[in-house]
Amino acid sequence: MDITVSANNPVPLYQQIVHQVRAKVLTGELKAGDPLPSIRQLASQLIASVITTKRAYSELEAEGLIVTRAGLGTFVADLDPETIVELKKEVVMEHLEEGVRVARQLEFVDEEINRLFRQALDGSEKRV
Amino acid sequence: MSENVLMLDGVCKSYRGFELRNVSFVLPRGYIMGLVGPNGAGKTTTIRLIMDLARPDSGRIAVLGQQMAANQIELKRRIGYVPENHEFYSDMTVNWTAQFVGRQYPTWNEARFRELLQRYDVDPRKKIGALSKGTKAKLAMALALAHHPELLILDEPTSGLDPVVRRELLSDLLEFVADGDRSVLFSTHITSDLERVADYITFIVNGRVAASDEREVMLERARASNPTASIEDLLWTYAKGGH
Amino acid sequence: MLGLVWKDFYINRSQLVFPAIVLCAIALLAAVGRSSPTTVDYAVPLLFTYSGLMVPFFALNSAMLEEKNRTLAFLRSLPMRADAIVASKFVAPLLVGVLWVGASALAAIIMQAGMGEHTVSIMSGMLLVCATLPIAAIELVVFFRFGASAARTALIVVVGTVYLVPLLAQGLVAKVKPIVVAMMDPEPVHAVLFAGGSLLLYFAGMLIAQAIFRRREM
Repeated sequence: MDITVSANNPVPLYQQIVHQVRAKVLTGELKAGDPLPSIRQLASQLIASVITTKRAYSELEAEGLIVTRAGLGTFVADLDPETIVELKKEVVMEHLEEGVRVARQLEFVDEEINRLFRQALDGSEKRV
Repeated sequence: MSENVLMLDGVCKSYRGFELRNVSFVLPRGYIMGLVGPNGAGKTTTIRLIMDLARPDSGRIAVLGQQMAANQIELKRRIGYVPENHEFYSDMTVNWTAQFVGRQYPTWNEARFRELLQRYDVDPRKKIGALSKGTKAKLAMALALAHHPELLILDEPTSGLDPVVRRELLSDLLEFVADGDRSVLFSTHITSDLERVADYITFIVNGRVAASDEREVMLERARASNPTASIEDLLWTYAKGGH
Repeated sequence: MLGLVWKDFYINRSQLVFPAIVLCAIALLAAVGRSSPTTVDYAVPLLFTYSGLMVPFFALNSAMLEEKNRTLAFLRSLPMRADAIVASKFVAPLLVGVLWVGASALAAIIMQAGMGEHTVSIMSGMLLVCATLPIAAIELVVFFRFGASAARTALIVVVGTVYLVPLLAQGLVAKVKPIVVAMMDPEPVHAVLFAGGSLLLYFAGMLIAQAIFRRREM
Protein backbone atom coordinates (compact mmCIF):
# COMPACT_ATOMS: atom_id res chain seq x y z
CA MET A 1 0.00 0.00 0.00
CA ASP A 2 1.56 3.22 -1.14
CA ILE A 3 1.16 5.72 1.66
CA THR A 4 3.45 8.36 3.09
CA VAL A 5 3.15 10.33 6.29
CA SER A 6 5.03 13.35 7.45
CA ALA A 7 5.62 14.39 11.02
CA ASN A 8 5.95 17.99 9.86
CA ASN A 9 2.34 18.02 8.71
CA PRO A 10 0.08 19.65 11.34
CA VAL A 11 -2.49 16.95 10.65
CA PRO A 12 -1.94 14.11 13.15
CA LEU A 13 -0.19 11.08 11.69
CA TYR A 14 -3.09 8.73 12.22
CA GLN A 15 -5.40 11.05 10.37
CA GLN A 16 -2.99 11.31 7.47
CA ILE A 17 -3.20 7.54 7.19
CA VAL A 18 -7.01 7.57 7.43
CA HIS A 19 -7.30 10.21 4.71
CA GLN A 20 -5.01 8.42 2.32
CA VAL A 21 -6.60 5.01 2.79
CA ARG A 22 -10.06 6.50 2.49
CA ALA A 23 -9.08 8.29 -0.71
CA LYS A 24 -7.72 5.08 -2.20
CA VAL A 25 -10.89 3.19 -1.35
CA LEU A 26 -13.18 5.86 -2.74
CA THR A 27 -11.25 6.25 -5.97
CA GLY A 28 -11.26 2.51 -6.42
CA GLU A 29 -7.47 2.18 -6.19
CA LEU A 30 -8.11 -0.22 -3.31
CA LYS A 31 -10.90 -2.62 -4.18
CA ALA A 32 -13.20 -4.57 -1.92
CA GLY A 33 -11.37 -7.54 -0.45
CA ASP A 34 -7.86 -6.18 -1.09
CA PRO A 35 -5.58 -7.09 1.83
CA LEU A 36 -4.00 -4.37 3.91
CA PRO A 37 -0.74 -4.64 5.86
CA SER A 38 -1.12 -5.48 9.53
CA ILE A 39 -0.98 -2.68 12.08
CA ARG A 40 2.60 -3.50 12.96
CA GLN A 41 3.66 -4.06 9.36
CA LEU A 42 2.27 -0.66 8.43
CA ALA A 43 4.01 0.92 11.44
CA SER A 44 7.29 -0.56 10.31
CA GLN A 45 6.72 0.51 6.73
CA LEU A 46 5.85 4.12 7.58
CA ILE A 47 8.30 4.42 10.47
CA ALA A 48 5.37 5.37 12.67
CA SER A 49 4.37 4.10 16.07
CA VAL A 50 2.13 1.09 16.44
CA ILE A 51 -0.49 2.97 18.40
CA THR A 52 -0.72 5.45 15.55
CA THR A 53 -1.49 2.82 12.93
CA LYS A 54 -3.77 1.04 15.37
CA ARG A 55 -5.77 4.21 15.80
CA ALA A 56 -5.90 4.81 12.07
CA TYR A 57 -7.25 1.33 11.46
CA SER A 58 -9.78 1.71 14.28
CA GLU A 59 -11.18 4.78 12.67
CA LEU A 60 -11.24 3.25 9.22
CA GLU A 61 -13.05 0.27 10.64
CA ALA A 62 -15.53 2.53 12.46
CA GLU A 63 -16.23 4.26 9.15
CA GLY A 64 -16.88 0.89 7.61
CA LEU A 65 -14.06 1.17 5.09
CA ILE A 66 -12.02 -1.80 6.30
CA VAL A 67 -12.71 -5.02 8.16
CA THR A 68 -10.50 -7.18 10.31
CA ARG A 69 -11.08 -10.91 10.16
CA ALA A 70 -9.55 -12.68 13.14
CA GLY A 71 -6.60 -14.80 12.09
CA LEU A 72 -6.80 -13.71 8.46
CA GLY A 73 -5.91 -10.03 8.56
CA THR A 74 -7.29 -6.70 7.53
CA PHE A 75 -9.09 -6.15 4.24
CA VAL A 76 -10.88 -3.43 2.37
CA ALA A 77 -14.57 -3.72 3.16
CA ASP A 78 -17.19 -4.69 0.65
CA LEU A 79 -18.97 -1.43 0.04
CA ASP A 80 -22.04 -1.09 -2.08
CA PRO A 81 -22.05 1.81 -4.58
CA GLU A 82 -24.53 3.89 -2.56
CA THR A 83 -22.32 3.78 0.51
CA ILE A 84 -19.37 4.84 -1.58
CA VAL A 85 -21.28 7.80 -2.96
CA GLU A 86 -22.35 8.72 0.57
CA LEU A 87 -18.77 8.54 1.78
CA LYS A 88 -17.57 10.63 -1.12
CA LYS A 89 -20.21 13.19 -0.26
CA GLU A 90 -18.96 13.18 3.33
CA VAL A 91 -15.40 13.84 2.22
CA VAL A 92 -16.47 16.74 0.01
CA MET A 93 -18.71 18.11 2.74
CA GLU A 94 -15.78 18.01 5.16
CA HIS A 95 -13.77 20.24 2.87
CA LEU A 96 -16.70 22.54 2.08
CA GLU A 97 -17.56 22.92 5.73
CA GLU A 98 -13.95 23.81 6.41
CA GLY A 99 -14.16 26.48 3.69
CA VAL A 100 -17.37 27.86 5.25
CA ARG A 101 -15.75 27.91 8.67
CA VAL A 102 -12.76 29.89 7.39
CA ALA A 103 -14.98 32.28 5.47
CA ARG A 104 -17.11 32.97 8.51
CA GLN A 105 -13.98 33.45 10.59
CA LEU A 106 -12.96 36.14 8.06
CA GLU A 107 -16.36 37.68 8.60
CA PHE A 108 -18.00 37.02 5.27
CA VAL A 109 -21.81 36.79 5.21
CA ASP A 110 -23.64 33.90 3.63
CA GLU A 111 -24.41 35.56 0.28
CA GLU A 112 -20.79 36.52 -0.16
CA ILE A 113 -19.76 33.00 0.68
CA ASN A 114 -22.18 31.67 -1.93
CA ARG A 115 -20.78 34.06 -4.55
CA LEU A 116 -17.25 33.01 -3.67
CA PHE A 117 -18.29 29.41 -4.06
CA ARG A 118 -19.70 30.02 -7.55
CA GLN A 119 -16.50 31.83 -8.43
CA ALA A 120 -14.46 28.87 -7.31
CA LEU A 121 -16.67 26.51 -9.26
CA ASP A 122 -16.43 28.55 -12.46
CA GLY A 123 -12.78 29.24 -11.89
CA SER A 124 -11.82 25.62 -11.70
CA GLU A 125 -13.92 24.79 -14.75
CA LYS A 126 -12.07 27.42 -16.76
CA ARG A 127 -8.72 26.11 -15.52
CA VAL A 128 -9.67 22.57 -16.55
CA MET B 1 4.20 -13.57 29.22
CA SER B 2 4.04 -10.56 31.45
CA GLU B 3 1.84 -7.74 30.35
CA ASN B 4 4.18 -4.98 31.41
CA VAL B 5 7.80 -5.36 30.50
CA LEU B 6 8.79 -2.43 32.69
CA MET B 7 7.23 -1.15 35.87
CA LEU B 8 8.67 1.59 38.02
CA ASP B 9 6.83 2.63 41.15
CA GLY B 10 7.91 5.48 43.37
CA VAL B 11 11.58 5.06 42.57
CA CYS B 12 13.86 7.45 44.43
CA LYS B 13 17.61 7.84 44.23
CA SER B 14 19.73 10.62 45.58
CA TYR B 15 23.27 11.50 44.74
CA ARG B 16 25.23 14.50 45.86
CA GLY B 17 23.81 17.36 43.82
CA PHE B 18 21.08 15.36 42.09
CA GLU B 19 17.92 13.61 43.11
CA LEU B 20 15.53 11.28 41.34
CA ARG B 21 12.14 11.45 43.03
CA ASN B 22 9.05 9.34 42.78
CA VAL B 23 9.68 8.05 39.30
CA SER B 24 6.77 5.89 38.18
CA PHE B 25 5.83 4.64 34.74
CA VAL B 26 4.84 1.49 32.96
CA LEU B 27 5.79 0.08 29.55
CA PRO B 28 3.36 -2.52 28.19
CA ARG B 29 4.70 -5.36 26.08
CA GLY B 30 4.98 -4.76 22.36
CA TYR B 31 5.43 -1.01 22.34
CA ILE B 32 8.05 1.68 22.12
CA MET B 33 8.47 4.19 24.91
CA GLY B 34 10.54 7.30 24.67
CA LEU B 35 12.14 8.65 27.82
CA VAL B 36 12.49 12.36 27.13
CA GLY B 37 14.05 15.12 29.06
CA PRO B 38 16.70 17.79 28.98
CA ASN B 39 20.31 16.82 29.64
CA GLY B 40 20.86 15.98 33.26
CA ALA B 41 17.18 15.39 33.93
CA GLY B 42 17.69 11.85 35.18
CA LYS B 43 17.19 9.70 32.10
CA THR B 44 20.49 7.84 32.35
CA THR B 45 20.09 7.41 36.10
CA THR B 46 16.68 5.87 35.56
CA ILE B 47 18.06 3.47 32.99
CA ARG B 48 20.98 2.50 35.22
CA LEU B 49 18.52 1.76 38.00
CA ILE B 50 16.50 -0.43 35.66
CA MET B 51 19.63 -2.32 34.61
CA ASP B 52 20.69 -2.83 38.24
CA LEU B 53 23.89 -0.87 37.70
CA ALA B 54 22.73 1.21 40.67
CA ARG B 55 20.20 0.49 43.37
CA PRO B 56 17.22 2.73 44.24
CA ASP B 57 16.94 4.25 47.70
CA SER B 58 13.25 3.40 47.68
CA GLY B 59 10.52 2.28 45.32
CA ARG B 60 10.08 -0.82 43.20
CA ILE B 61 11.34 -1.76 39.76
CA ALA B 62 10.04 -4.78 37.89
CA VAL B 63 11.68 -5.81 34.62
CA LEU B 64 9.88 -8.42 32.53
CA GLY B 65 7.73 -8.97 35.59
CA GLN B 66 10.62 -9.81 37.91
CA GLN B 67 13.12 -8.17 40.24
CA MET B 68 16.47 -7.50 38.61
CA ALA B 69 18.47 -8.05 41.79
CA ALA B 70 17.14 -11.58 42.27
CA ASN B 71 17.25 -12.77 38.65
CA GLN B 72 19.98 -10.65 37.23
CA ILE B 73 21.55 -13.15 34.82
CA GLU B 74 18.34 -14.60 33.45
CA LEU B 75 16.84 -11.15 32.88
CA LYS B 76 19.93 -9.66 31.32
CA ARG B 77 19.94 -12.50 28.82
CA ARG B 78 16.57 -11.30 27.61
CA ILE B 79 17.53 -7.64 27.49
CA GLY B 80 19.52 -5.80 24.88
CA TYR B 81 21.24 -2.85 26.51
CA VAL B 82 23.02 -0.04 24.73
CA PRO B 83 24.43 2.59 27.11
CA GLU B 84 25.21 6.10 26.03
CA ASN B 85 28.96 5.52 26.00
CA HIS B 86 29.56 1.98 24.95
CA GLU B 87 32.97 0.94 26.21
CA PHE B 88 34.65 -2.07 24.72
CA TYR B 89 38.27 -3.23 24.84
CA SER B 90 39.91 -0.82 22.42
CA ASP B 91 42.79 -3.11 21.43
CA MET B 92 40.46 -5.96 20.49
CA THR B 93 38.79 -6.39 17.11
CA VAL B 94 35.08 -6.30 16.39
CA ASN B 95 35.22 -10.05 15.76
CA TRP B 96 36.81 -10.76 19.12
CA THR B 97 34.35 -8.50 20.90
CA ALA B 98 31.42 -10.19 19.19
CA GLN B 99 32.75 -13.60 20.13
CA PHE B 100 33.18 -12.52 23.74
CA VAL B 101 29.72 -11.01 23.97
CA GLY B 102 28.04 -13.77 21.97
CA ARG B 103 29.24 -16.40 24.41
CA GLN B 104 27.23 -14.73 27.18
CA TYR B 105 23.88 -15.13 25.43
CA PRO B 106 22.33 -18.53 24.72
CA THR B 107 20.06 -16.93 22.12
CA TRP B 108 22.92 -15.36 20.18
CA ASN B 109 22.39 -15.60 16.44
CA GLU B 110 25.70 -15.31 14.60
CA ALA B 111 24.06 -15.07 11.19
CA ARG B 112 21.85 -12.22 12.33
CA PHE B 113 24.87 -10.42 13.79
CA ARG B 114 26.81 -10.72 10.53
CA GLU B 115 23.77 -9.49 8.62
CA LEU B 116 23.48 -6.46 10.89
CA LEU B 117 27.20 -5.69 10.63
CA GLN B 118 26.90 -5.70 6.88
CA ARG B 119 23.83 -3.50 6.91
CA TYR B 120 25.46 -1.04 9.30
CA ASP B 121 28.66 -1.14 7.29
CA VAL B 122 30.98 -2.15 10.14
CA ASP B 123 34.27 -3.83 9.26
CA PRO B 124 34.57 -6.83 11.59
CA ARG B 125 38.34 -6.98 11.35
CA LYS B 126 38.90 -3.48 12.64
CA LYS B 127 40.02 -2.77 16.17
CA ILE B 128 37.49 -1.11 18.43
CA GLY B 129 39.83 1.80 19.01
CA ALA B 130 39.91 2.51 15.28
CA LEU B 131 36.15 2.86 14.96
CA SER B 132 34.42 6.23 14.79
CA LYS B 133 31.83 7.14 17.39
CA GLY B 134 29.00 6.46 14.99
CA THR B 135 30.37 3.07 13.99
CA LYS B 136 30.81 2.07 17.62
CA ALA B 137 27.19 3.05 18.22
CA LYS B 138 26.09 0.86 15.34
CA LEU B 139 28.23 -2.01 16.62
CA ALA B 140 26.67 -1.69 20.06
CA MET B 141 23.24 -1.79 18.44
CA ALA B 142 24.15 -4.86 16.41
CA LEU B 143 25.45 -6.63 19.52
CA ALA B 144 22.22 -5.82 21.34
CA LEU B 145 19.92 -6.97 18.53
CA ALA B 146 21.81 -10.12 17.60
CA HIS B 147 20.62 -12.16 20.58
CA HIS B 148 16.94 -11.44 19.90
CA PRO B 149 16.14 -9.79 23.23
CA GLU B 150 12.61 -9.26 24.47
CA LEU B 151 13.38 -5.78 25.70
CA LEU B 152 15.71 -3.21 24.21
CA ILE B 153 16.97 -0.50 26.50
CA LEU B 154 18.80 2.27 24.70
CA ASP B 155 20.35 5.35 26.25
CA GLU B 156 20.61 8.16 23.69
CA PRO B 157 21.01 5.77 20.76
CA THR B 158 20.81 8.43 18.08
CA SER B 159 23.03 11.15 19.50
CA GLY B 160 26.03 11.70 17.30
CA LEU B 161 24.52 9.83 14.37
CA ASP B 162 23.85 11.46 11.02
CA PRO B 163 20.20 11.78 9.93
CA VAL B 164 20.34 8.86 7.52
CA VAL B 165 21.65 6.44 10.12
CA ARG B 166 19.18 7.82 12.64
CA ARG B 167 16.28 7.02 10.37
CA GLU B 168 17.70 3.55 9.73
CA LEU B 169 17.92 2.97 13.45
CA LEU B 170 14.35 4.10 14.07
CA SER B 171 13.21 1.86 11.27
CA ASP B 172 15.05 -1.03 12.91
CA LEU B 173 13.30 -0.31 16.18
CA LEU B 174 9.91 -0.56 14.51
CA GLU B 175 10.91 -3.77 12.79
CA PHE B 176 11.99 -5.00 16.21
CA VAL B 177 8.55 -4.52 17.77
CA ALA B 178 6.73 -5.77 14.68
CA ASP B 179 5.91 -9.16 16.19
CA GLY B 180 4.13 -7.66 19.17
CA ASP B 181 6.21 -9.52 21.76
CA ARG B 182 9.20 -7.22 21.94
CA SER B 183 9.43 -3.77 23.47
CA VAL B 184 11.77 -0.81 23.43
CA LEU B 185 12.67 1.86 25.93
CA PHE B 186 14.88 4.57 24.61
CA SER B 187 15.98 7.78 26.16
CA THR B 188 16.70 10.83 24.10
CA HIS B 189 16.70 14.58 24.10
CA ILE B 190 16.13 14.62 20.33
CA THR B 191 12.36 14.98 20.29
CA SER B 192 11.98 14.64 16.53
CA ASP B 193 12.83 10.95 16.84
CA LEU B 194 9.80 10.48 19.01
CA GLU B 195 7.34 12.40 16.90
CA ARG B 196 6.56 9.39 14.79
CA VAL B 197 8.00 6.35 16.46
CA ALA B 198 7.08 6.44 20.15
CA ASP B 199 3.86 4.80 21.30
CA TYR B 200 4.36 6.07 24.84
CA ILE B 201 6.37 8.97 26.18
CA THR B 202 7.62 9.65 29.68
CA PHE B 203 8.86 13.16 30.28
CA ILE B 204 11.54 13.43 32.93
CA VAL B 205 12.45 16.89 34.11
CA ASN B 206 14.67 17.68 37.08
CA GLY B 207 14.56 14.16 38.43
CA ARG B 208 10.79 13.88 38.34
CA VAL B 209 8.28 12.44 35.92
CA ALA B 210 6.40 15.39 34.45
CA ALA B 211 4.06 13.21 32.42
CA SER B 212 3.79 9.67 31.13
CA ASP B 213 1.14 8.62 28.65
CA GLU B 214 0.37 7.56 25.07
CA ARG B 215 2.01 9.97 22.68
CA GLU B 216 -1.19 10.43 20.69
CA VAL B 217 -3.18 11.30 23.80
CA MET B 218 -0.63 13.85 24.97
CA LEU B 219 -0.41 15.49 21.56
CA GLU B 220 -4.16 15.70 21.19
CA ARG B 221 -4.51 17.37 24.56
CA ALA B 222 -1.76 19.82 23.70
CA ARG B 223 -3.21 20.54 20.26
CA ALA B 224 -6.48 21.62 21.85
CA SER B 225 -4.78 24.89 22.68
CA ASN B 226 -2.00 24.86 20.09
CA PRO B 227 -2.90 23.10 16.82
CA THR B 228 0.70 22.59 15.77
CA ALA B 229 1.98 21.39 19.15
CA SER B 230 4.85 18.94 18.96
CA ILE B 231 6.71 16.79 21.45
CA GLU B 232 9.38 19.46 21.53
CA ASP B 233 6.77 22.03 22.56
CA LEU B 234 5.55 19.73 25.30
CA LEU B 235 9.08 19.20 26.55
CA TRP B 236 9.61 22.95 26.56
CA THR B 237 6.42 23.40 28.58
CA TYR B 238 7.40 20.80 31.14
CA ALA B 239 10.97 22.02 31.35
CA LYS B 240 9.68 25.47 32.19
CA GLY B 241 7.69 23.99 35.01
CA GLY B 242 4.30 23.93 33.29
CA HIS B 243 1.80 21.11 32.87
CA MET C 1 34.31 -17.26 34.76
CA LEU C 2 36.81 -19.29 32.76
CA GLY C 3 35.87 -17.31 29.69
CA LEU C 4 36.73 -14.17 31.64
CA VAL C 5 40.07 -15.66 32.72
CA TRP C 6 40.83 -16.45 29.10
CA LYS C 7 39.82 -12.90 28.17
CA ASP C 8 42.23 -11.51 30.77
CA PHE C 9 45.03 -13.71 29.44
CA TYR C 10 44.36 -12.60 25.88
CA ILE C 11 44.05 -8.91 26.65
CA ASN C 12 47.17 -8.90 28.80
CA ARG C 13 49.13 -11.18 26.53
CA SER C 14 51.87 -8.60 26.15
CA GLN C 15 52.58 -9.11 29.83
CA LEU C 16 53.29 -12.74 29.10
CA VAL C 17 55.34 -12.26 25.97
CA PHE C 18 58.26 -10.45 27.56
CA PRO C 19 58.74 -12.87 30.47
CA ALA C 20 58.49 -15.75 27.98
CA ILE C 21 61.28 -14.19 25.92
CA VAL C 22 63.38 -13.66 29.06
CA LEU C 23 62.79 -17.27 30.02
CA CYS C 24 63.83 -18.58 26.62
CA ALA C 25 66.85 -16.28 26.48
CA ILE C 26 68.10 -17.36 29.88
CA ALA C 27 67.49 -21.04 29.11
CA LEU C 28 69.23 -20.70 25.75
CA LEU C 29 72.23 -18.87 27.16
CA ALA C 30 72.55 -21.36 29.98
CA ALA C 31 72.19 -24.31 27.62
CA VAL C 32 74.84 -22.85 25.34
CA GLY C 33 77.10 -22.13 28.31
CA ARG C 34 76.36 -25.57 29.73
CA SER C 35 79.97 -26.35 30.12
CA SER C 36 80.39 -23.39 32.43
CA PRO C 37 78.64 -24.30 35.66
CA THR C 38 78.61 -20.71 36.89
CA THR C 39 76.39 -19.64 34.01
CA VAL C 40 73.86 -22.26 34.87
CA ASP C 41 74.16 -21.55 38.58
CA TYR C 42 73.47 -17.94 37.84
CA ALA C 43 70.65 -18.50 35.36
CA VAL C 44 68.38 -20.72 37.41
CA PRO C 45 68.11 -18.54 40.53
CA LEU C 46 67.64 -15.53 38.25
CA LEU C 47 64.68 -17.23 36.67
CA PHE C 48 63.13 -17.87 39.97
CA THR C 49 63.57 -14.47 41.51
CA TYR C 50 61.70 -13.10 38.51
CA SER C 51 58.81 -15.11 39.94
CA GLY C 52 58.28 -12.44 42.54
CA LEU C 53 57.23 -10.00 39.83
CA MET C 54 54.78 -12.09 37.87
CA VAL C 55 51.64 -12.20 39.94
CA PRO C 56 51.37 -8.63 41.27
CA PHE C 57 52.36 -7.05 37.98
CA PHE C 58 50.05 -9.15 35.88
CA ALA C 59 47.22 -8.32 38.27
CA LEU C 60 48.08 -4.63 38.11
CA ASN C 61 48.29 -4.54 34.33
CA SER C 62 45.00 -6.34 34.06
CA ALA C 63 43.41 -3.83 36.44
CA MET C 64 44.88 -0.85 34.62
CA LEU C 65 43.74 -2.02 31.20
CA GLU C 66 40.25 -2.62 32.53
CA GLU C 67 40.15 0.91 33.87
CA LYS C 68 41.67 2.50 30.76
CA ASN C 69 38.98 0.83 28.65
CA ARG C 70 36.29 1.62 31.22
CA THR C 71 35.02 -1.89 30.68
CA LEU C 72 34.01 -2.80 34.23
CA ALA C 73 30.61 -1.24 33.58
CA PHE C 74 30.41 -3.10 30.27
CA LEU C 75 31.09 -6.40 32.04
CA ARG C 76 28.52 -5.60 34.69
CA SER C 77 25.89 -5.04 32.01
CA LEU C 78 26.46 -8.51 30.56
CA PRO C 79 24.53 -11.49 31.95
CA MET C 80 27.22 -12.66 34.31
CA ARG C 81 27.65 -12.64 38.05
CA ALA C 82 29.59 -9.74 39.53
CA ASP C 83 31.42 -12.34 41.64
CA ALA C 84 32.68 -14.04 38.47
CA ILE C 85 34.19 -10.78 37.25
CA VAL C 86 36.11 -10.41 40.51
CA ALA C 87 37.07 -14.08 40.61
CA SER C 88 38.60 -13.93 37.13
CA LYS C 89 40.75 -10.97 38.21
CA PHE C 90 42.16 -13.15 41.00
CA VAL C 91 42.38 -16.44 39.16
CA ALA C 92 44.20 -15.13 36.07
CA PRO C 93 47.28 -13.78 37.91
CA LEU C 94 47.41 -16.90 40.06
CA LEU C 95 47.44 -19.06 36.96
CA VAL C 96 50.16 -16.87 35.52
CA GLY C 97 52.23 -17.48 38.67
CA VAL C 98 51.66 -21.22 38.49
CA LEU C 99 52.49 -21.33 34.79
CA TRP C 100 55.63 -19.30 35.37
CA VAL C 101 56.90 -21.62 38.09
CA GLY C 102 56.11 -24.62 35.88
CA ALA C 103 57.82 -23.13 32.85
CA SER C 104 60.84 -22.12 34.90
CA ALA C 105 61.13 -25.63 36.31
CA LEU C 106 60.98 -27.02 32.78
CA ALA C 107 63.64 -24.57 31.65
CA ALA C 108 65.84 -25.58 34.56
CA ILE C 109 65.52 -29.23 33.57
CA ILE C 110 66.36 -28.42 29.98
CA MET C 111 69.36 -26.41 31.07
CA GLN C 112 71.00 -29.14 32.99
CA ALA C 113 70.70 -32.82 33.71
CA GLY C 114 71.39 -33.01 37.41
CA MET C 115 68.34 -31.51 39.04
CA GLY C 116 69.47 -32.12 42.58
CA GLU C 117 71.09 -28.80 43.40
CA HIS C 118 68.30 -26.88 41.79
CA THR C 119 65.26 -28.29 43.51
CA VAL C 120 66.07 -25.62 46.04
CA SER C 121 65.46 -22.87 43.55
CA ILE C 122 62.29 -24.40 42.21
CA MET C 123 60.84 -24.63 45.69
CA SER C 124 61.91 -21.14 46.65
CA GLY C 125 60.58 -19.84 43.35
CA MET C 126 57.20 -21.32 44.16
CA LEU C 127 57.36 -19.92 47.70
CA LEU C 128 58.30 -16.54 46.34
CA VAL C 129 55.23 -16.58 44.11
CA CYS C 130 53.16 -17.56 47.16
CA ALA C 131 54.67 -14.72 49.14
CA THR C 132 53.51 -12.26 46.51
CA LEU C 133 49.93 -13.54 46.64
CA PRO C 134 48.85 -11.48 49.66
CA ILE C 135 50.44 -8.43 48.05
CA ALA C 136 48.45 -9.01 44.86
CA ALA C 137 45.33 -9.59 46.93
CA ILE C 138 45.69 -6.23 48.64
CA GLU C 139 46.29 -4.61 45.28
CA LEU C 140 43.15 -6.16 43.78
CA VAL C 141 40.94 -5.32 46.76
CA VAL C 142 42.10 -1.71 46.49
CA PHE C 143 41.38 -1.81 42.74
CA PHE C 144 37.81 -2.95 43.21
CA ARG C 145 37.22 -0.33 45.85
CA PHE C 146 39.21 2.66 44.64
CA GLY C 147 40.37 1.99 41.10
CA ALA C 148 43.55 1.14 39.26
CA SER C 149 45.65 4.18 40.17
CA ALA C 150 45.01 3.57 43.85
CA ALA C 151 45.88 -0.08 43.33
CA ARG C 152 49.21 0.89 41.81
CA THR C 153 49.90 3.18 44.76
CA ALA C 154 48.98 0.36 47.13
CA LEU C 155 51.44 -1.95 45.40
CA ILE C 156 54.24 0.58 45.66
CA VAL C 157 53.45 1.21 49.32
CA VAL C 158 53.30 -2.48 50.25
CA VAL C 159 56.47 -3.41 48.37
CA GLY C 160 58.24 -0.36 49.78
CA THR C 161 57.20 -1.35 53.29
CA VAL C 162 58.45 -4.88 52.78
CA TYR C 163 61.84 -3.51 51.79
CA LEU C 164 62.09 -0.51 54.06
CA VAL C 165 60.78 -1.83 57.37
CA PRO C 166 63.65 -4.26 57.97
CA LEU C 167 66.09 -1.45 57.20
CA LEU C 168 64.41 0.94 59.58
CA ALA C 169 63.83 -1.58 62.29
CA GLN C 170 67.25 -3.24 62.68
CA GLY C 171 65.94 -5.67 65.22
CA LEU C 172 63.58 -7.08 62.60
CA VAL C 173 66.46 -7.94 60.28
CA ALA C 174 67.75 -10.48 62.73
CA LYS C 175 64.27 -12.05 62.88
CA VAL C 176 63.69 -11.93 59.12
CA LYS C 177 67.05 -13.43 58.10
CA PRO C 178 66.36 -16.97 59.30
CA ILE C 179 62.99 -16.89 57.51
CA VAL C 180 64.63 -15.96 54.23
CA VAL C 181 67.26 -18.67 54.71
CA ALA C 182 64.50 -21.18 55.45
CA MET C 183 62.76 -20.17 52.22
CA MET C 184 65.91 -21.07 50.29
CA ASP C 185 65.85 -24.61 51.60
CA PRO C 186 62.48 -25.27 53.18
CA GLU C 187 61.19 -28.31 54.98
CA PRO C 188 58.43 -29.77 52.80
CA VAL C 189 55.92 -29.40 55.62
CA HIS C 190 56.79 -25.74 56.09
CA ALA C 191 56.60 -25.18 52.36
CA VAL C 192 53.14 -26.68 52.14
CA LEU C 193 51.94 -24.66 55.13
CA PHE C 194 53.36 -21.47 53.70
CA ALA C 195 51.82 -22.10 50.29
CA GLY C 196 48.50 -23.05 51.84
CA GLY C 197 48.48 -19.99 54.06
CA SER C 198 49.21 -17.64 51.18
CA LEU C 199 46.51 -19.17 49.04
CA LEU C 200 44.05 -18.85 51.89
CA LEU C 201 44.89 -15.18 52.30
CA TYR C 202 44.61 -14.70 48.56
CA PHE C 203 41.13 -16.17 48.36
CA ALA C 204 40.06 -14.32 51.49
CA GLY C 205 41.06 -11.20 49.62
CA MET C 206 38.93 -12.36 46.70
CA LEU C 207 35.88 -12.77 48.94
CA ILE C 208 36.39 -9.27 50.33
CA ALA C 209 36.77 -7.86 46.82
CA GLN C 210 33.59 -9.67 45.73
CA ALA C 211 31.62 -8.18 48.61
CA ILE C 212 32.91 -4.73 47.72
CA PHE C 213 32.19 -5.07 44.02
CA ARG C 214 28.71 -6.45 44.55
CA ARG C 215 27.75 -3.31 46.37
CA ARG C 216 29.50 -0.97 43.98
CA GLU C 217 27.42 1.14 41.63
CA MET C 218 28.47 1.35 38.04
